[in-house]
Amino acid sequence: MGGQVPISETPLPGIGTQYTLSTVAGRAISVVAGRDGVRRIAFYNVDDPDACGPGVRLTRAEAVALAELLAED
Amino acid sequence: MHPATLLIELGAIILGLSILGRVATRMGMSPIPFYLLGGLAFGHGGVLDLSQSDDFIEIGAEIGVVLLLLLLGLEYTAGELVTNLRAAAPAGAIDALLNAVPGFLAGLLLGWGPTAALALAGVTWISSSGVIAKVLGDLGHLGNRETPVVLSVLVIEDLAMALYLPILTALLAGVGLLGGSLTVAIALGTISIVLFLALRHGGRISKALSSEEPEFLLLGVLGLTLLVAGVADKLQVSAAVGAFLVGIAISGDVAEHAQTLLAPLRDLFAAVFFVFFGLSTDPGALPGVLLPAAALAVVTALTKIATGYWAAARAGIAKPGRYRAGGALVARGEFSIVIAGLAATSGVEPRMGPFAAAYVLILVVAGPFTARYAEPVLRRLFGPKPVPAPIEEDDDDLTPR
Repeated sequence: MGGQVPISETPLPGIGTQYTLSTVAGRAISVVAGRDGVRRIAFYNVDDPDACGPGVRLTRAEAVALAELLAED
Repeated sequence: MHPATLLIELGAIILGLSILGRVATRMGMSPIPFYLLGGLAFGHGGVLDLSQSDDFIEIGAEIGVVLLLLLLGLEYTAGELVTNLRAAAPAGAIDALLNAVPGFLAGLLLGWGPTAALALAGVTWISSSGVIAKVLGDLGHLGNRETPVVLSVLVIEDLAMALYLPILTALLAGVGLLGGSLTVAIALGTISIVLFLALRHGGRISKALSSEEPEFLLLGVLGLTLLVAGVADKLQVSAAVGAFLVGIAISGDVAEHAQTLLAPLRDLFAAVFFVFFGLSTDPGALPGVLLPAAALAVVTALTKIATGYWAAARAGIAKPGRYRAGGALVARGEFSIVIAGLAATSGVEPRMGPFAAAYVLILVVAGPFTARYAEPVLRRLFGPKPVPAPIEEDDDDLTPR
């Protein structure tokens, strides 16, 4: 699981790490993992492939809960 | 000196700063310009004359610079810096070329000596990582693809400062070309050794400093930093660079813990530093330099936008992202003031302080606006035209690209 999904990883010096997941349907999802444990998740725009909105801030617990929801069969 | 008067003056200053800071936050602005204006208002020739607390503020300002750079160093790990140096060196070179050169030329045009012009080059070169990181977060740009590009330019600038500051310090101290190159050699050697030690033995340094008691960690890191900063100053590598290198050498949990412990201290002394800069600047000299400072601000705002555009294009970012990267980089702030402060206290050019104060006041305020509006404005001027937002009721129907 997960091996086929393209995820790029870019360091954000001083802030954390930026992950981008590209979906088969042509959209991309951004996850910023802050060093402080905060995760930000957002969706890239359709007309501007490099921008995503401010998205949603998730605490560690919320991120885990969301991951569980998404991973459930 | 009367302790009572000292306490009253200090209390009034710090309380005043807290009010100014609140006003700034309420307006969604960086507090830096407010601290500078506060200093200008209370300084010699300002509306109020505070003289009792001069000594304390002067020493506090010195510590403020050291803490600003220490905390900056703590944010980076040596590994990050080395990887980034390899990837972003061309962007860093363009950045230096486009932004330091206008400052240098402006200095010469104003009839300043080459050393003062070199200081002004630094003022116009270095963007404010503090202001920019905050603005990127506020605007929700952290997830954008151009954001790593913006940050890597900032990191390169910070590293370049570690070379630039020793050169400037040496020249300001009046050593000749030979002495200058010796200082640069010492600085280069020190930086390489610190990066090497931090990469190989960073864990050990951090371990030696780590402590269960926050109190001892605080005292240990602060003591080591002041010591190294002092030695660096003696070697004319500049105290700020010494503190930055200590920050880089400390890594992992210890760095993170030290960051939380020292951040409030940094906030206090950095505010004192900005006030000190304002205090030692004659507000009467401001109107005379306002026009050239504003002109230079416009030019170097445009060159920063060009820098961001170029760096983002090189990273394969589309046009809108290039505009955003450019707009984000415009803000100048704390490091421009650090450089100007070095030059002003050396007395190399009397107009340095007022000129840099006016310049930074303009760009620290304008920076967040260019970060927000560079993209929509430049898009309207040069395209691509904004596409009306698609009705996103059924995203999954988009054909795979």
